[in-house]
Amino acid sequence: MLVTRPLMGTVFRLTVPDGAPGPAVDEVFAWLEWVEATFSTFRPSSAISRIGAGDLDPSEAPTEVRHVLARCADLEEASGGRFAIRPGRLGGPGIDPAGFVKGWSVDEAAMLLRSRDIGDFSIYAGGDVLCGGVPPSGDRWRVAIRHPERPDEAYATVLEIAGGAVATSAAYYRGDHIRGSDRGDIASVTVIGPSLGVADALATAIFADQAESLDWMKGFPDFGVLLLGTDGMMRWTAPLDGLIADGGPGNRR
Amino acid sequence: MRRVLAISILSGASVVFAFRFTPPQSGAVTTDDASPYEIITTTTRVSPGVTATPLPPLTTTTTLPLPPGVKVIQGPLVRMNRGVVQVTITLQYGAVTDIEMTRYPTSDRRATQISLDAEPYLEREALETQSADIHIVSGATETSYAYIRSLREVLEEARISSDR
Repeated sequence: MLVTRPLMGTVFRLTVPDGAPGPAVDEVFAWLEWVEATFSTFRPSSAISRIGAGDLDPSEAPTEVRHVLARCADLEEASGGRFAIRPGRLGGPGIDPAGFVKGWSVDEAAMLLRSRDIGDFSIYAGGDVLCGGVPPSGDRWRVAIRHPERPDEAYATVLEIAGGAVATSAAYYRGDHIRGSDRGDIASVTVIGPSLGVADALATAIFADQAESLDWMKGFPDFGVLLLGTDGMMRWTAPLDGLIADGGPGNRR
Repeated sequence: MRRVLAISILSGASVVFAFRFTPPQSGAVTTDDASPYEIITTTTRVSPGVTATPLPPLTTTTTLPLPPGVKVIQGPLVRMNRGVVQVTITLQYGAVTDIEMTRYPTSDRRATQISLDAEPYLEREALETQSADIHIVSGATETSYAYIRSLREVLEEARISSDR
């Protein structure tokens, strides 16, 4: 069963086995809609907008909002400031934890599914994915990573994982050139690990500073990094070793 | 397997493996200096008449009188690298009854099929991944971003006009 819904400015897709209880699927989307309403910086009435405007003290915000803000603060510290809560839209007053919220909402949705005995699932949220249990075919989830030069048509590689989060941050089609170096630019950063909220935040942070340093990633031993360079090279950290199933045509192992 | 390089190019010993991935097979990608997903028109309300768009229409928009309570709103044209995306919604007494992709990149084979409703479009994109023995794809597609951008804009316009 595949359910697609536009949410949080992107596309969400939930795949669960046929015969999974419909109410559980409805619960997942009700949860995601609640997250969108609570954390939207587009809605002046949302908790996050009211905090940004000074109308709501964070200590009086819903538990989930306080939790997200605390996790964002932790991530900011652990990443040496590479990940940070963005200011409000258009540089106005306010805060925007969207870089963490989308993935975190998916982590929570997965817990909800498991609590309803749906252990085999995949959730796609705007290019980031979280999967668990057994895939529809085979033993391990095969997650393709879009080719940075032709993201709509080609995959650069395929990861084979037992489950977990895969988040990709890229600048497909960006007109502005980021920065040149001997090794070329980083065209796309993929992070895998047990949490999509964290993986998404890390991918964004690593992409933003073009993987200038990854030493700080020692603070995230459960997360692996895959870099696709404009020089055509794929580079990855140890947690990903053995999970790369396909280097693309001509590069099969 | 061609392991081309195994060097630590980053500070520290974090990155331990490198490997060449294959360039795409077909022609070079033309890059556009314009920012992706740039909105090139604002939302146009076309009900009850139809306002012509500056580009030739790819689908025929109805000029028949609309049933009572029905309103058609075109989303903005959103420019992306491979073309222009536009979403048009139909409302009946304020509720969205239809979402149509009224403009799409002509190079997009998936989108040029006859049925252009929102769900089929996005689901076809999802289902396509299953043909290559792949369960799911990481990395967002440009078309779905442009689609969502136009859809959000037109839904916002619908909300505002229903508040009036």
